[in-house]
Amino acid sequence: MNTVTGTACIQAYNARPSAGESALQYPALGCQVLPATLTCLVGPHRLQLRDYLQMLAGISIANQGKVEIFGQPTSNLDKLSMRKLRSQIGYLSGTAPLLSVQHGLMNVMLPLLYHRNLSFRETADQARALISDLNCDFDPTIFPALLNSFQRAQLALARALIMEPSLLFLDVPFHDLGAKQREEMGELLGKHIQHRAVCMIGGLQYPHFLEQYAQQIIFISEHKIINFPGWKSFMHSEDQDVRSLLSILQGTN
Amino acid sequence: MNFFGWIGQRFIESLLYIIDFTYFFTHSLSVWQVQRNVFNKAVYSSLLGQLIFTGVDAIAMISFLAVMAGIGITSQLIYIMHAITGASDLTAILARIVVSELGPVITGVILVGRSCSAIAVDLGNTKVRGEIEPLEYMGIDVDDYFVVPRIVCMIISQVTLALYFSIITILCGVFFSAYIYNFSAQESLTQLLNTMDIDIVIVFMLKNLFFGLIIGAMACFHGLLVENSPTQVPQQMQRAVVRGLVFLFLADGYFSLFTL
Repeated sequence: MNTVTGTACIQAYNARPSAGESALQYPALGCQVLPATLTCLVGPHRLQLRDYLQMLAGISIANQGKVEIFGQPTSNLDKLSMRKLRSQIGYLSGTAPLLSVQHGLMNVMLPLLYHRNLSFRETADQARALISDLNCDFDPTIFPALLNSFQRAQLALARALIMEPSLLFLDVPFHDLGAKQREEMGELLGKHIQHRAVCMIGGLQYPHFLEQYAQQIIFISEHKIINFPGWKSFMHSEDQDVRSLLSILQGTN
Repeated sequence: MNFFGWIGQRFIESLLYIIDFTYFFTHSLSVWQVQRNVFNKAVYSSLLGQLIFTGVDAIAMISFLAVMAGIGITSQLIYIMHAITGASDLTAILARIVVSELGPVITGVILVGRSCSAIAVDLGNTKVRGEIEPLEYMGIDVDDYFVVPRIVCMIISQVTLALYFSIITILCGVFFSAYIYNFSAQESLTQLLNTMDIDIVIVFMLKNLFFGLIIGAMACFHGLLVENSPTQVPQQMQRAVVRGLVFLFLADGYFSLFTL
């Protein structure tokens, strides 16, 4: 694994993502994501959260303020440095499916083949080892369309982890799974994120997972951003907006 | 809007389209840039897959059409030339019409109908399903992985299939005519080979290279123009095919003028 110790993996200094066509207000975010910690962005507007997540992931550039990933400001990176940086970051999105024209194994192998240029055999061996580590009990050389959503989620996680990233972004992962399968994926994730910095949105679907692993919960709404040092302090917050979000969630659960 | 306004608008649209298209394929093929990562195993595997689909899988269709064109067109040409001038200009006419014209154009039309449409639909669907974005998030360049292999394979397929088509068409035409009209096939083929000077070969290669470039770039350009609606996929596929044919014949006209 690409190890980053000591310094923060992500550092945001009063950073505000570009609102695009959204009419929402975007308060400035100051935070740091340390190695081997899990940070979850929560709030009432998922699109707003995604904009913040993509800014922290370096996918979009901060409209105001500064974001540094592994000490490098994302706004100043040229294309070559950005590609190198991206190869050290895993990104798993619930809405981003696997490449349907390639079979499952090739989907997992693809980032390695592109960035590391290892031999096919070596890459396939690594991919197969990771796939079996993720408890995949199916033939990975099947096309994604022929797999069920749980199997696809396992392969998507394998693809995000194949480069052994030290920083992992989870964008509403496994949103199309049932409660039981989500719990199983939560366990799998827990096994594979312990030595990585993880930043996620959509984590409120996994309260037990957050309770166990989250070291930082960042509440983002239209008017304020509040950093909580863990699940308990978030749950015991007296803030009106946080309480209202939690009551909505309790209602839906 | 009056007639002249409409003409003006169409002209400006066409001009902008050509600028966009030119930018697309020069940018896609600028593989020498430092940030590009074209020479790797992922691109190589994509290239192999495309080569099988665009080149190898098309051989049966090309062979069938080449045999038919050989019997139907080449033998007619041979018959007409024998009737009008005797055999003296036969090889020059065969070299000019079959090798320089018929082979590249028919191969190009087949590739437009078969592969250009398929590539546009494939890329369009991939984009609609949101499968491209996660690859970009992982640092995989769309041009490197999706565009360059398709264009390169289209060029290789166009050059080799046009050569194959021309050879089969001539052989079939000459042997069929020799059988029907009772003349020496060997002599005609030897004369034809002697007629093939370096200029004809260079023009043949350049023409097919350019055709392949146009067809491949047109397919990828229109496939990637699809945004997020599935209804755009058939629209862009249709544009890729029609404009591919238009550009193919424009390029053919240009080469014909150039080689007159």
